[in-house]
Amino acid sequence: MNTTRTALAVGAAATLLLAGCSGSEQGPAGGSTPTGSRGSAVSAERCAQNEAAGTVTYVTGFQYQASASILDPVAAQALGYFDDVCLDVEIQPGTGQTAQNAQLVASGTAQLSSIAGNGDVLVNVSNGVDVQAVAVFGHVPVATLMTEPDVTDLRQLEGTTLGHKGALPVTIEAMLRAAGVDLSTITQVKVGYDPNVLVRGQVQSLTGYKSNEPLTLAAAGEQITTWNPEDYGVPGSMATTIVNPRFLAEHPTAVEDFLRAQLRAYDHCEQHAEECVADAAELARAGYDTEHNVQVWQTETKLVDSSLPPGQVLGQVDDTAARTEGEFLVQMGQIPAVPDLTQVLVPDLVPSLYAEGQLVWPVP
Amino acid sequence: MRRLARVAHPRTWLPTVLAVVVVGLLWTWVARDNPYVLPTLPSVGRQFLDQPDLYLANAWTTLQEALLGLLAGGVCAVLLAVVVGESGLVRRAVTPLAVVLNVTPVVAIAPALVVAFGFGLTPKVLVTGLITFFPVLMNTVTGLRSVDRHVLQVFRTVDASRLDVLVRLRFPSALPYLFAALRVVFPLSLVGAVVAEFAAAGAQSGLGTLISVASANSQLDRVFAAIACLALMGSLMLLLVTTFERRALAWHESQHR
Amino acid sequence: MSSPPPSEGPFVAVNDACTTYGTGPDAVRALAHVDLQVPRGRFVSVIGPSGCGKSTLLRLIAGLEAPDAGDVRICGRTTAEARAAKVLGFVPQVPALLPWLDVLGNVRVLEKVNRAAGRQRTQRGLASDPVALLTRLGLGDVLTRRPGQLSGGMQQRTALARAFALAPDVLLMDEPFSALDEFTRESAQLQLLDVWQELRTTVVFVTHSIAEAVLLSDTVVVMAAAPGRVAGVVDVGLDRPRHHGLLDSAAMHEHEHRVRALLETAWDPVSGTPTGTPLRTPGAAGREVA
Repeated sequence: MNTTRTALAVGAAATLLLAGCSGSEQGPAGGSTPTGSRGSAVSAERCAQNEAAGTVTYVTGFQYQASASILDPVAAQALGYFDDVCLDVEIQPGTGQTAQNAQLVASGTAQLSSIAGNGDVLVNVSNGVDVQAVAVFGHVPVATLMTEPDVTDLRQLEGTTLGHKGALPVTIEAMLRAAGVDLSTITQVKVGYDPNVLVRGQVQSLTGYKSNEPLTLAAAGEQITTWNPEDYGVPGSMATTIVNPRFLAEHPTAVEDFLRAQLRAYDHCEQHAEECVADAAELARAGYDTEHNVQVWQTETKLVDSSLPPGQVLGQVDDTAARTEGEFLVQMGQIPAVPDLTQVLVPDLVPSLYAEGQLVWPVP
Repeated sequence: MRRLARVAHPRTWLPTVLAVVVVGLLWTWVARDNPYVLPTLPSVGRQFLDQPDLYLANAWTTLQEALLGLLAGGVCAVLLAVVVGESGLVRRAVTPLAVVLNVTPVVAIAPALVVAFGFGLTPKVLVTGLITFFPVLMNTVTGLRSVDRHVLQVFRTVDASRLDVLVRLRFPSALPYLFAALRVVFPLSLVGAVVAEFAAAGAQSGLGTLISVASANSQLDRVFAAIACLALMGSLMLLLVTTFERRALAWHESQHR
Repeated sequence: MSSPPPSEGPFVAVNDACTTYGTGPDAVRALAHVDLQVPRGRFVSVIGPSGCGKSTLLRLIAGLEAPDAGDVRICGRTTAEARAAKVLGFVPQVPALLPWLDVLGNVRVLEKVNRAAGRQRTQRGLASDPVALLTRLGLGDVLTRRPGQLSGGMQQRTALARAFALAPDVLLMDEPFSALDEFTRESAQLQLLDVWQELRTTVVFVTHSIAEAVLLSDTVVVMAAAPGRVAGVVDVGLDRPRHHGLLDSAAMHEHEHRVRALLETAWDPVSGTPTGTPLRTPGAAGREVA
C-alpha cells in the first residue's frame, strides 16, 4: 500500500514539473483549460500533501440535486479539478437530513459535507456535534412562504391554515412575527411533498425552498406569491460547507484545495449550467429531472450572487453574519447560547484561496 | 392436472380479477379529478415503458439489499433461536435484548449505522437484517419448542443426543413456524431496504432513493411506478415462499384444504 | 455392559421405589414403596384406577423420571445405562409419530439416533426387517403414507412397530390402545399378540382395561391409589397363543373377576374414591395428559 502511494507520488511529481511550468505561463486567471493531468494545478510538494489526506469523502445535502454546494463539487469531480489538485474525492449522496451529515463528518466517516446553512451548523454544534464551518454560499434564508396572489399582507393569513414539511422553519416564524401576525390564530399542518395543496386551497400558505416548490408551481403555470424572510430583516444563510476539525488540522491543504476546486467548478457551472447538470444526471442512477435541476441551479446561483456581501469573496464565512444568525436562533429558542464562534468558524480559509479577488489556480 | 383445472376455473380467478378491476376503476375515478393525489394509471404505465432500465436497475439494487439483509437477519435469527432453545440461560439473557431491538425504530439508528459501517451496502443490509431478525427469531424459537412431548419421550428412551433431537425433531417441527415467518419477512425485507435508502446517506440507487428523489421533484407518477415495482416484487417473493412451503410442508395440516 | 443377565433373576426390577410430586403441604405421593419384578420374556400388565401411579411407574422404568428413593434395574443395569444401550422400547399413550415421515420412515427413524449403541446390538427375526414387521401388523399397504393419512389404529400400530423394530430387551407400553374405539382396539391387541408370540419380548404394559390386561398378560399387577402402591398380583394361566375367541370364555371371565376383586379392595367403584384416603389425585402434577 505504502509503496504504491509513494510510486504514485513520484510519478505525479514528475508530471508536475512539466505541468507546473505551463501553468505559471497561463497565469492565475487561466481557467479556460478544461482539464489538465493529475496534479497539473499544484506543486509537487502540495500534491504529495493532498495525497497524504487519502480519499476525501464529501456528503451532499440531498442526492445529486443541482443546488449550490452539491452541483459544484459534482462538477469539479467531472471536470477533473480534484484530480488537478491531487485529491481523491468520493461524493456520497445525502438524504436531506442535515443532522446526519454533521454526524458523519464529526465521526470522520466523511471529511466534508454540505449542510443547509450556518444556522444548522450552530444547532448541531450546540448539540455537541464537533464540526467546523469553512465556507458558506448564500447569505439569505433558503426558506420561503408561498401564498395565492390575492394575499397582499401576511396578516391576511390569520385564521387560515399553513402547510409545512414537519416543522415551521424558524426564519418563516420570525418573518410572520415581524409582520405582526398572531401565530396562534394560524393552524399549522404537516403536508407532503406536493406543493399543489396550496393551489387547491387545502392550505392558504405553504413553506418551501426558494429553489424548489415555486419553480414546480411556475412550471405548472400556477400564479403564486412568495414571501421571503430577508425582506423582514430575518438573517439566514444557505449551503454551508462543514469539515471534520481533526481532518482540517492534519490536512489543511486538502481542505483548501477541495474548496478551491469546488469554487472553480461553481464559476464554470454558472456559465455552463446544462453541462454541469448533465454531469450530475450521469451520477444519479435513481432518476433525474434535468430541466427542473437546471432551474434549481440558476435560481440558487442567483440567490447566492445577489446576497454576496460587498467586499467579500464567494464562499467566505462571515463572523459577524454568523453571530447575527446565532443570536437570532437564541432569540427564537433554537439554541441556548451562541457557541464560541472562534471554535466553529474558519473565516480566513476561503479568503486565502483568492488573490486580488481572483481564485488562485493553479496553486504555486 | 387437477390443480391446473382448479386454477382455470372462474371461481378461482374471478374474485381476484374483479377486485383488481374495481380498484383500478376507483383509482381512475379519483385520479381524474385529483391529479396530485394519484397519478393516472396510464401515466404510471408510461413510466415503465419509457424507462424500463431505470426501474430494473433500481429494483435490482433494492432487491440485493433486501435479500442480503434477509439472509443475514434470517441466518442469525435461526442460529440464535437454536442456542436460545438449548439453553434457558441464554434465553433469559437474550429475550429482553431482542425485544428492545424489535421496538427500536430502525430509521432512527440508520444514520449511526452509516457512521459505523460507511456508505456502502453494509448499513442497508444491516437495517434490513434488523427488521427481519425478530419475526424469524420468535417464530423459530416457538417452532423449536413445539415438538410433541411424547415424541421427545420416545427419543429419550433410546438416549438420543441433543443434536439428534435438534436435527430430527426440532428442525422439522419448526419448519411450519419458520415458513410463517418467511411469508412475513420476505416482503418486509423490501420495506427494510427502502427505509434504509431513505434514511442512510450514501444511497446512490434503489427504489427508495428513486422515490425520495421523485418526491422532492413532485414526480408523482414516478413515485407510484416505484411503489408498483415494490408491490410486484413483494408479490413474487410471497408466491415463491408459498410455492416452496407447499413442497416442504406437504405433510403439515396447514397445507391441507 | 453387555454381560448377559442371570437367567434366574428378574429382568426388570423395581425395588422399594418412592416418588413424590411437589413439596410441603401440597406434596403428593405418587408411589410409595413399590416393588415390581418382571422375569425375562414375560408379558406383565399394570392396572389400576386413575392416579394409582401406574404411568409414573412406567416412566421410572423407562428412565424418564428418577425415583426419590429405591432403584430400578433393567437386567442388572441402571435405567441410564439401559437407555444408552438402546434396550428399551417405549410406546406412549398417543402414537407420537413424526408427521413429516412416512410409515416406514417413522419405524426406521430410531435406527439413526444413538447409532453407537445400535451397532453393538444384533437384530434378529422380525425386528430386523421393518417392512416384514409392518406387514405383520397389517400396514404393508401403507408404508409410504404419512401419519396424517392414517386412521388412529394404523397410527398406533405404527408406533408399536417403531418400538418392536428396536428389538428391545424390554418393551414399555403406556395405555397404547386407550384412545382407540373398541373394534380397532381388539384387532390391535390381536396384532400385538401375534408379533409378541414370535418375538417374546419382555413387556410392561400399563392399561386401565381389565379385559385387555387379562387377554394379553402372563401376570397382571393391580395397583391402588393414594398413595400409589401394589395391591396384588394375578397370574393369568391361559394357554398361548391366545386368540380372540378367548374373550368370551369362562376362563377369561374367571381371571377378570379376580383382577376386579383385587381392584375393589383398594377402590370404591361407586364413588370413584380410593377407600379410606383423602380426596386427592396422586401424581396429578406429573401425569401424562393425552
